[in-house]
Amino acid sequence: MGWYILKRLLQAIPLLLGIITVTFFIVRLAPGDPMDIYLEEDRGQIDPQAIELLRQKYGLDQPIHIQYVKWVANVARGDLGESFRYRRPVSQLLAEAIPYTLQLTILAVVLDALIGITLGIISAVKQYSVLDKIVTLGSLVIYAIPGFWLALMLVLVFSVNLGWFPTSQTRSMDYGFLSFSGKVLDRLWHLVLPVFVLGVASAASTARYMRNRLLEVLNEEYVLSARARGFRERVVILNHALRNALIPIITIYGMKLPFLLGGAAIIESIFAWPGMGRLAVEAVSGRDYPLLMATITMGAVMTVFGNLLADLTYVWVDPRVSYEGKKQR
Amino acid sequence: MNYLPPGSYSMTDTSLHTSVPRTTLRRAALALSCLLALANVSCSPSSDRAPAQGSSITLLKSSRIDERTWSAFGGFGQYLVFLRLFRKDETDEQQPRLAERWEHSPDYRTWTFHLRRDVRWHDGVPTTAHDVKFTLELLAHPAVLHPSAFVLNIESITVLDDFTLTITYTRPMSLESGSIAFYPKHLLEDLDPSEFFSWDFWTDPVGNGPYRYVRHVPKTMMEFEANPDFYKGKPKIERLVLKFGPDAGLLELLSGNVDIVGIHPSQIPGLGEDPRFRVYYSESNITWAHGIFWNQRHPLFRDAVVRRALTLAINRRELLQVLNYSPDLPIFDVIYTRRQYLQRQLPEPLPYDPELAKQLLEAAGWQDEDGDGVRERAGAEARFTLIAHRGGTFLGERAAVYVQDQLRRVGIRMDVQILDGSVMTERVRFAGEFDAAFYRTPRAAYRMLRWNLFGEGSRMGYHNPELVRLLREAVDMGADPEVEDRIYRELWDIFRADLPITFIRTQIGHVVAHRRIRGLSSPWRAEPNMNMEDLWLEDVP
Repeated sequence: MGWYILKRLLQAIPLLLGIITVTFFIVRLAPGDPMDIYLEEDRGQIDPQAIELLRQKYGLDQPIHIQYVKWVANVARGDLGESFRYRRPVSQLLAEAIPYTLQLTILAVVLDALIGITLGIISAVKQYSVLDKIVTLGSLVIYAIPGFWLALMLVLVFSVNLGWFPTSQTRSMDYGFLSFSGKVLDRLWHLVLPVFVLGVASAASTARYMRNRLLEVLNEEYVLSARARGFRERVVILNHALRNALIPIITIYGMKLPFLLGGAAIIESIFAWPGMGRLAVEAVSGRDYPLLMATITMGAVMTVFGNLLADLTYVWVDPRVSYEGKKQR
Repeated sequence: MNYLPPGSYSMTDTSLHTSVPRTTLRRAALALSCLLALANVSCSPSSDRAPAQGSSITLLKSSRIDERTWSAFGGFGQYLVFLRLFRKDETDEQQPRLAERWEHSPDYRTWTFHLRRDVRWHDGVPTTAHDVKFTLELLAHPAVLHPSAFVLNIESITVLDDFTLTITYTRPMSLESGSIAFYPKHLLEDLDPSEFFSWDFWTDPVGNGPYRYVRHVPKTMMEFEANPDFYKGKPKIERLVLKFGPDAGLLELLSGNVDIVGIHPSQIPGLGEDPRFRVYYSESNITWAHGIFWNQRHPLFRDAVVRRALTLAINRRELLQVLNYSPDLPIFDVIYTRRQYLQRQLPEPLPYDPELAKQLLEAAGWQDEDGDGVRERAGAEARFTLIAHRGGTFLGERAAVYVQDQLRRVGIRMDVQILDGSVMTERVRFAGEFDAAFYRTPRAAYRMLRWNLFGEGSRMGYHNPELVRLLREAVDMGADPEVEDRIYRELWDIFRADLPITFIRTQIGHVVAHRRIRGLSSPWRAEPNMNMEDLWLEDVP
């Protein structure tokens, strides 16, 4: 297993290098000058010398291939550069944003798994029942609703009209005066709407996958055999069918790993959530190359890592899968 | 809709939180405690002072703002917490602030500032000329690099006494460049300038302005209280909260979470006739002039007579109303200085006159010979495509449809293509691949030169050496407001004759405020940040 992991990690290096190289040049070739941010506001006379000095400071006056080599060398040393917009180290900005994103995305994925897998199982086991039809219709409707619209509607109903939840932000303004438990509750209170939007929308598709896959497995002969041997239906489903049905679901969750750190740009924007998604949007709109490249690189790393993790999880779920050079029977 | 009057919101009111069913949340809370610890739940500032009592208002600020850089370089720092040497009034004249008076040498290279003697930092230490010198040197540090010409062209600074200093510049300097806040030397001189933007000082600032810092919840809010020692007297609004929220702030306003938000004019109808709010528009940031860029490589737009006809054919006053702009906004055909715009000294614009437009098009050889409603000349139709932004602060689809209809009435066929912002920038500013475009030009000479709108290789196909010469002269000689005024008036003649751009409007900001907030007015005193010390609250039924 150790060799397999090492081999996969080594294979990931050229892949990541390829991704970030292509991304670097696409980002740099996009129109617009990042230094235009200094011309946006009527803040008096901007000195042309300042713009040139800033271009020099950030290496923008150099040929693009030199910029690329320097950037790769800096990243290899762990230096992600300084944000053009915020004028602070990118690593500092990421360190501030990642905890906020993790709070949101981990809870959303947990909610997605809980609701999606549960409803998928129920729907498959009770195929063609009223419950199955409700779950199928409900998941299709929620899947079809754009996340931003759902978020705005929830804010309108539950925040503006009913006042049950905050409209945005991660904590209340009186947060500093709350006890520890008050702070925890306050954080949870602010998480309800964004986590619900992210989790439920995602659960709709998970439920569909789960249902279809479980129905396939339930028709397998070994399930019939288990039933014939007198196992209780609950044992047949949970111990025999479900583990096999989970394999494609694991692949899906492996692919969700980049989302954990990458955040959800639109939902974070609507709820003023200061996470990675929001930071990436800012980086794109402000042509903040160092910040943008850092967020993309992180996404690429997490994608590769997510795939690896999914492959490794197959071993745990399906005893037939092995990376030791032989297949168990 | 229930509305909690924003002023009555109490920072110690936790009724909303107690409504959360705690027992059902307890388990989840425990499971999450590790996650939350990541975000410093238990490490929030314990030194928070109790919130101030009395009148208070809450402003919404975009959560895109990074509190540190925002307070360091601009934003609330310049207006609320710190003092600038001077500030502009509604006629664009500089009025005393930290400096009570100033003189300049005839060549505008040497400026002497006499500071007020009654200004103190919020910790009680007097503000002196040493603080001003320290700040200017700090901002010019290579790691800081404030982009203002007022900072970067300093030859020498001489402190004559505690309240007088002389700054000599390497070239003529205008006060226009001096929009800078000054910082306390005694608190910052030992800090490392290379860490400038990461200093904790920016989230716990000690200033000398009308409001002083009380507390800060990261990524959430900053609270300030009126400074009783402010040299103009304690501001009437005692407590000010800046809430960092979503860009689309209307929901925050309607929810009663904030008292003032900036909005896009397209959102104004959404407010309906809601009596709780008042809408103001602001001309404090008139950096950009928006209009239709005519690409003179297109055969239709080569002739200045045609560009004149097209300008005459568009009812710009009505267009502004369609876009929900104030009917008071000036219509103009020229670029301008701030002073000229704010003092409404702009020359009379071309009127809306579709009949004259038709006559000019006929005279230019564009006639509808086949009766299909579209003019032709030498077999070519008077037809073009206008590209426009998807939305935002630019003129967008709605304006495009209006102009399309107006031009159709004079026999011009205009197709509309809506593009993403970066594609617009590429096609208009860099590739010149457009017939006509809704775009914007900076009003300042040095920025126009930087964009190369009118020089050799202009992407608009409009090269006017005289115009470029005057812009360069404005950059070199513009320290003297009267000279700048004269140069721009010469530019007016060129713009009015050539009409390379049909201007629609300047950059206008819109603010919605709860009606109990008084002291705001359009177009100059609509920015709450800049005018906070002059606002007050009024009881409303």
